[in-house]
Order: sequence, then structure tokens, then C-alpha cells
Amino acid sequence: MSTSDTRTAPAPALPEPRRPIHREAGLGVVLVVLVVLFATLTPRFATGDTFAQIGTDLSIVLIVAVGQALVLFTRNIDVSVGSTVGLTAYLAASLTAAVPGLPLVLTVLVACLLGAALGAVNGVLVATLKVPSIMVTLGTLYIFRGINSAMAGSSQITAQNLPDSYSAIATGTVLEIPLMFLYALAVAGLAHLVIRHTFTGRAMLAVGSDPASAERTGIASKRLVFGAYTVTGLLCGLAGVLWGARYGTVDSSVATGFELVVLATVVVGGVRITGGVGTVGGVVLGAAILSVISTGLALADVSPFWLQAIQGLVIILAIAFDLVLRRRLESRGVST
Amino acid sequence: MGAAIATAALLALTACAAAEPSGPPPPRPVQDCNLTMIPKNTDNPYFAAVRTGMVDAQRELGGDLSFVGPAAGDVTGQIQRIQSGRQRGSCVIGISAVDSSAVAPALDAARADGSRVISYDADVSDGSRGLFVNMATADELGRAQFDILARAMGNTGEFGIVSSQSTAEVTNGWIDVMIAQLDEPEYSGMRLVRTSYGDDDAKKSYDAAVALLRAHPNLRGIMAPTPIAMEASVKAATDLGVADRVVVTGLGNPGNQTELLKTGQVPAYVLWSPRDLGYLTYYAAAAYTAGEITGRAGETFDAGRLGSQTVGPGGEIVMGHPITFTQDNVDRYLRDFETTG
Amino acid sequence: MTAQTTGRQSPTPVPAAVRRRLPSWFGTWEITLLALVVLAVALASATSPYFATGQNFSISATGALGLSLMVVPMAWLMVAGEIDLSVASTFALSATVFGLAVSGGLGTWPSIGLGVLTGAVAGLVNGLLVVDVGLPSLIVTIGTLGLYRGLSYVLLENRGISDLPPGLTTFAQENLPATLVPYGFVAFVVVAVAAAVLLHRGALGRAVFAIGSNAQVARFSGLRVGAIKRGLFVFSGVVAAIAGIAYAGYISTVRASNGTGLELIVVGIVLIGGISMYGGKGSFVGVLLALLLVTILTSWMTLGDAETAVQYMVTGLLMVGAVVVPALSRRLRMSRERRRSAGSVR
Repeated sequence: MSTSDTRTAPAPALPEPRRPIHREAGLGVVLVVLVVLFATLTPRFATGDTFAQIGTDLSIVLIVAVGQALVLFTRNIDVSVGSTVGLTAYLAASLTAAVPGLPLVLTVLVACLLGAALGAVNGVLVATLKVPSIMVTLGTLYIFRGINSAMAGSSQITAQNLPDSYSAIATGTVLEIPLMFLYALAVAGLAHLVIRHTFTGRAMLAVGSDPASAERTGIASKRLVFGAYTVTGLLCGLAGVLWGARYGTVDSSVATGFELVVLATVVVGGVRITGGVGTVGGVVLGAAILSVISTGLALADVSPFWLQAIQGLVIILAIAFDLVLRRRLESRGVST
Repeated sequence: MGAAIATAALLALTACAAAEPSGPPPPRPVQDCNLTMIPKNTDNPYFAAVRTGMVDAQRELGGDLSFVGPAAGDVTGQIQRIQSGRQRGSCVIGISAVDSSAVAPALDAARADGSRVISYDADVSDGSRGLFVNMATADELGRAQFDILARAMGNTGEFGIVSSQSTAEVTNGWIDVMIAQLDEPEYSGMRLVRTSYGDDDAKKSYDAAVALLRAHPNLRGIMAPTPIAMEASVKAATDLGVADRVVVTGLGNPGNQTELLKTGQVPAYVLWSPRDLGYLTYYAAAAYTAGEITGRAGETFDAGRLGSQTVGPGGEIVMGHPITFTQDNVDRYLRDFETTG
Repeated sequence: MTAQTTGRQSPTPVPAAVRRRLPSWFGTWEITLLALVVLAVALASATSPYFATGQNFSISATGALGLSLMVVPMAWLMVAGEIDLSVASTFALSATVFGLAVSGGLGTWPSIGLGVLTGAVAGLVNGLLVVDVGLPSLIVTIGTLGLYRGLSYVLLENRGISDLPPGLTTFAQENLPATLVPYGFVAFVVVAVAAAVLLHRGALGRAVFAIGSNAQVARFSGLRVGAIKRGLFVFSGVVAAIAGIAYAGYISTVRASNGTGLELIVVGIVLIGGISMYGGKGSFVGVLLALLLVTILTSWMTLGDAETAVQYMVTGLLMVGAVVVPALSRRLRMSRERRRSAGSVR
């Protein structure tokens, strides 16, 4: 199959989703190569601390990326995720600062609901009106950020205004494993189960690989698209709480430009932007690869002026390497 | 397309070349004036306090104040505000420049159209403004921050810097002063291991601080010459469990960072009064547009509650000295950081 | 028309009579945009005394030059079904190389040449990675977005270069003598007209549309899909370089941070102009109208001292409205037609 062509052939009604297992194998090799590379470059890399740091570092991205993947599966896109995270981070933090005794669970719940509501706005517009999702979500990227800026103005909420229990969400550990990483794994695990083992999950991929025939076979594609956006919004709400807890200062610019980081994660993870193809496992590996790169470069004490250039280069090399590896496997007939 | 060309043609036909300016614009009393005051960014408690000071002065002097700027500091946003000030014929355009040279052409065009230009907080290129209201000299500000760090580190050990944008000239000026201090014999035991940049973004600053702390296990101090980086560095040091051996200090904002001092997480930090800076800037602008001062060294003007002020060499008005805030004195200054409206 | 055939293949069910009269490059969407432009101009002129002036035209057109230029190749690329998110980084990298060449003592034109060459190489790298390696352009150009911006920082670190040739700053800041028409505007009009005519009248334009609609079919029908796509990426790089150098002239400064984040605005304008993210659809006239609309709104809001928050919300509502309003009216019309045809059968 030609790789430069981004369109998939019409799929039969509700196929078993193709399992691009070698996609994940390729990414796994890339990840291992990177880890070995950084471990030889800097002795500090191969330590438990580093892996705990990577685990924490990738979790916020991964949580949002899982949502983004669901949206991409249905042949749509959500570029408003950065603004949604920003707005929910601000609302959650200001709520906590304003109501000191508020139970944390309630804060998280409120943030998730708010995020889900924002996602539902995207979802309604995209699903019922069948308008291009990139336009809608680029629009809401600006609208949500505008609301954030109008509400926050010049105010900043700092860790000093928040109870210690708030930042404990981000800093806690269980058996040395960072809590944040566990949240992210739980989200990814749940999404994996839904995609792989439920009718809804398979239907999502089917909608993305061939919307017209999916609809003919009676799949409620509108509801699935709406659901994907709402879930993404909800996950952004969770990510917003974690953002405030981890980074301490919340102002009107939280998570500006985050959408590109999320997209990079998802696409490195092998999810196709034209829909229907991808796995949650791939997204996890994508997040791990990007986090290993940034953490490794930071530990190697690379000059900040070089950091961005090297990071960009390594992303390109990683996806190119993965592609070459996959082609080699396919030509040997390992894959179908 | 057709519309664009038609518009262009129409305008070309009806247009006449802008008249070349001859000499300085005539004096205008501030009461009859619109003043456009552009901060680096509006979504920032520091500039909100500057605005409070400008409004204080406006109540005393009169005039029409437009305090407008981009939400997040960007050159294009500042240029657009300069141009709208120019178009509505503002007597004075005041700016805290994101980039000293990038805003210069727009300021020059505004001057050619009869606006007077002053800079405050962060200067613009020479020749593109008449006055510069400076909070304190870069030398003093750099030293004041460095002194706190050096004392807390006992003049020995490794430290790193987490700054704002790598292109932020004011901050870079302070960092140069700090690096020069390291050549003094008494600081020979101190070593700067890395200067990194957090772009005044909480996440990037936090990540930069974590990178510093992990890549340099012997680090004893972090210099954060911007409030967001200071907050993030304190958090990073706490999260990594090294807060007891790593000192964090730099530039802080008592407006929302008094707790950092009271809890002892930061021994002391430096700033000045943003409210006074706004107040003084407005008074200087009023004196400038009324023709009382022209930007020559030695001129004096009345600055209300701040008394008589003198223009220094290069049209620079230095407000005073940096203030070092500690847990003992910070409460006395809180009114300097009030943000209203 | 039966209910079954109203699938997604007919995005604008214009009545047949109207469809025959409207050329492909000026459909209902272009008319809507034109109406919005007229409306915005009317409202802005009514509410701000400084809007409908020659000076404002001159100022807005000068300021929009860098952005406007980059919109041109992005429109072509997106019609072909690709995207280039690295444009703003190429913009900075080319200006950086140009600035270093100038401060290194090279003449103005050789320096510009070097800067443009940088842009061409940057575009070619994108093209090779997408066409020859076979990676998706979205992720390739997110990677090179970081790489090219990063290289600018490597080359310039925290320095800025402000000592630029007076010829360049005059071109980027001034008007034609004795008029209020900026030099840059004239240059942009030339580029835009050429790009519009080529896209909608030339064989190359037809090929680009064909590739965007279905690359496979285009390849079978003998089009050199790879060469054309590679060429479009180089075109994108070259124009981004020219835009970056012109912008450096506009602000008299080269810095590694020049134009950060501009890529989303460029993509946004192309999308408002009616070009699909998945290729094969749209018109250049729509893109130009979108550019005009955004420039007018920006100018209006700035003159009204609108806060960034308001500017963001207006921009966002415009984008959402740009797709939602036509979709809603389409639905209304379709349901009305369905009711009418149902009535006539009975």
C-alpha cells in the first residue's frame, strides 16, 4: 500500500479493525533506541528518578492525546484542546482559591464537567451540522482563549493561593510510581478497552475509515462524533486541574500552543489524521517517545538555544525511522 | 480581490503625501490630550499595578488615558496599538517595549505625525523616544538580586538562571551585571552553570528549573529574574525535595507572592513600586506634552506625591532604587501593588 | 432529487440556474465573504472616524504584508491536500540568515538571495520528507516548525540585528512616493493576481486541484504528483522567506522570535477562505476575501481599543460562523425543498 496516499479504501461494513501491531513494534524499537542513546550520553538518565519524571511529564499530554485520538479516529480533529485546558485550569484553580474548604473531588468533577461542556459545543457543531471540524475547533480555540483572558485579566493564581492538597494531586506517589502517571494510564487503559473490545470503539474507527458506508450500516455516527468531542473536553478538564496542580501558576495563557504538542504526540503514535487508523497503545508510545526526548535533552544539559532545533530533528528522525522499519517488516511479509 | 484593487486605486487617487514634520509638535496641556500607554502585556498583575498608578495621576492632572496592549507580549500587538494611538492623534504614546528596536519604526512614524513618544519600564532604541522613565538602573537591579543570592549561598557554590524570554533585553541587562559580579574576588567561589529561559510561561519555567536541578545535582541556587520563573523554580525545588539546599530568589511581585517570603521559601526578592512607576510616567508625559520638559538633561518637573524630578542624561528619568522585600517589610508595600479595574 | 443521493458529495446544493452563472472561483461562499467585508467596512466606518482613511489603509496594508504573502502558498498547498505548519519558522530562519549575511558585510541583494535560498532549501526538505520518504505533511512540518525555529535560535541566540539596508526598510515601511499606497501592497497584489490566475486558469492549477481531490487518480492520469507537491513545498519556503525578510524590514529587526505562532493565523485565513483541510476544494478569491476581512476586523478592533480577549472572541466567532451559517442555511433550504417536492408529488 502506498504510504504517501492518505486515503483509505472503502471498508466493508464494520470490519475487525486492522491491527497495526507492527506500528507499535516500530515505535517500541524507537523508544528503546532513544532510551539507550540517552543512557549512554548521560549517566544520570538511567535512574528511577528520571523514569518517575518522564512518567509525570508525559501524563498531562497523554490524557489529552487519548481524547484527541478518539476524535481523529472519527476523521475529525480538535485543535481547541490547548484553550480548553487553559480555561478549565483557570476555572478549577480560581474555584479552589475562592472556596477554601471545597473537597478536591468536587473540584475535579466540576472541571471535568466544564471541559465536557466545552467539548460538547465542538461536538454539536461538528456532528449535527457536518461542518469541517478544523474550522470549528480553530474558532473555539480563539473563543475559549478569549473567554479565559476576559475572565482572568491580569490576575494570576499561584500555588500560594491553593491548598497543599491541590498540588498533592500532581506530586503524590504510590509505591514510588507518580500518581499523575497512574491517572494517565487509567485513562489510556479505559480508552484502549473501549476501542478494542466494544462495538462503540469499532464503530468509531469504522466511521473514520468510511463515513458513508458506516452510516449505511446503521452506525449512529453523529452520536459517536459528539461523544468523542465530549470525552476529549472532559479529559481536557482533568488535564486542566493537573496543570494547575503541577505548574503552580495559572493565568490567562495556560497551555497556549499545547494543541501542537498533542497533535505531534498522537501522530507520532501512529494515528492517522484522515481517520480510521490508530491505537491507544501507539499514542502511549508516542507520548513516551516525546517525553524521553525532552527529558533526555534536558538532562544532557543541552544549551537552551539548541533544545528546540534538536527536538524538532529527533521527532522527524523518529517518525522516519519508524516508517522505514515498518516498511521493512511489511516487505518481509510479516504484516498483512 | 476586485474590491481590494478598487479600494487601493481610489485611495491612491485621493491620497496626498503626508506632510513632513518640521520641528517638535506644539505644546498641548494634558487636560486636552489623549495618552496611549502601552504595557508589554495586559494579562499581568505587574502592569495592572502600573495602570493603577497612571490612574492615580490622571485623577490629579486630568487627560484621557488609553491603557491598551496585547494580552501576551508580542511585537505585532504593540505595533498595532502604537498605530492606533498615532491615528487618533494621541499627544503622548508611552510604551514598555517588548523589543526595543522592533517597535522603533512605528514610533518614528507616530512622531512624524505629531505624537510625543516616551518609554517606561523597558526602553526603546535611541532616537525613537524623547524620555525614558526607568524604575532603577540596570546595574542596581542586577546587583540587588545577585546580593540576595550570594548571601544566601554564602558566596560559594553552583547556581543557574531561569529567565523570561531569551530576547528580553531588560532582563538580559541584569544578567550581564550578575555575570560581571562573578569576576569580583569575593564571589570567586560562585559558578553560573547555565542560563535557561522559561518565556514567562509557568510550564516552560517549571520544566527549565527541573532540568537545571536534575542536570546539576550540586546546584545550590536558582536566580529567577522574573516572578513567574521564581514561582516555578520554588515549586520545582520543592517537588524534587531539594528546597532545603537550593536557594531561589530574583524578581518577585508582592502583589501575589507575599506568601513566598512569609513561608521562608524565598529569603528575599527585589522589585520596585509599579504603582509609582505608572504615576511618575503619567506626570512625565504630562510635563512633556505641555512643553515643560523636552528631554534635555537637567530639566526638572513636578511629579505630585513623588516630588520634583530631574531628567538625566539621554532623556532618562530614574525613579529610585530597587526595593528588597523580606518577610518583615513586605506588608508595608502592599498598596504599591494594588490592581484596580 | 431523491433523498438517497443527497450525500456529502454535494456540499453546496446551489440551484442549477445559479450554478451555471457562477464561475467556480466565485461561488456562494465568496459572495458571503464579500458581503461580510462590505458589512465590516460599513460598521467600522460608522463607528470609528479613523477607519475609512487613506492613512489607515496604508498602515493596515503595510502591517499585513508578511502574513498576506504566506497565505498565498498555503492556499495552494491546502488545495493539493497538504499543509505546511513550518512557514512561520522558515520566515524567521530565512530572515536570520539574511540578517547575518547583511551584518557580515554581504550586499543587500546577495543577502536576500541567501535568505530566499534558505527558504527554498527549508521547503525542499519538507517536500522530500513528505513526497519521497512518505511521511504525513502535518507531522513533518510540526517537526520542522521546531527545527527551523530552533536553528534561528542557534544562529542568533538572544541577539537582534537592527542595522538593515535602508532600501529594505523603505520598501517594507513606506508608501509609493506621493501616495498612500505601500510598496509592499503593490508587490502583494502582483503575487496574488499571478497566483489566482494560475490556480484557476492554468494547467498547473487544474493539476493541483486534481491532486487534492484524489492523488491516486491524478497519478494514473499521468500527472507528476510528486514533482508538483515538492514544487509547492519549495514555493511555500521561498514565499515564507520573502515574507520573513520583508517583515524584518517592517520592524527593522531580525530576531529568532520573529513571527512566532503566525502559522495558525495563516492556516485560519485559508480555511475561512473556504479551502478544505483535505484538499481539492476552494478558491483563491475566497482566500483573498478572508484575508481582507481579517485585516479589516483587526484594524477596526485595534482602533476601538478592543482588548485581546475581544479580538480573540471575534476571530473565533468568525471562524465558527464561517462554517456554521452556510451549513444552517443549507439545511433550511434542503428541508424546505424536500417539503415542497413532497407536496408536489401528492
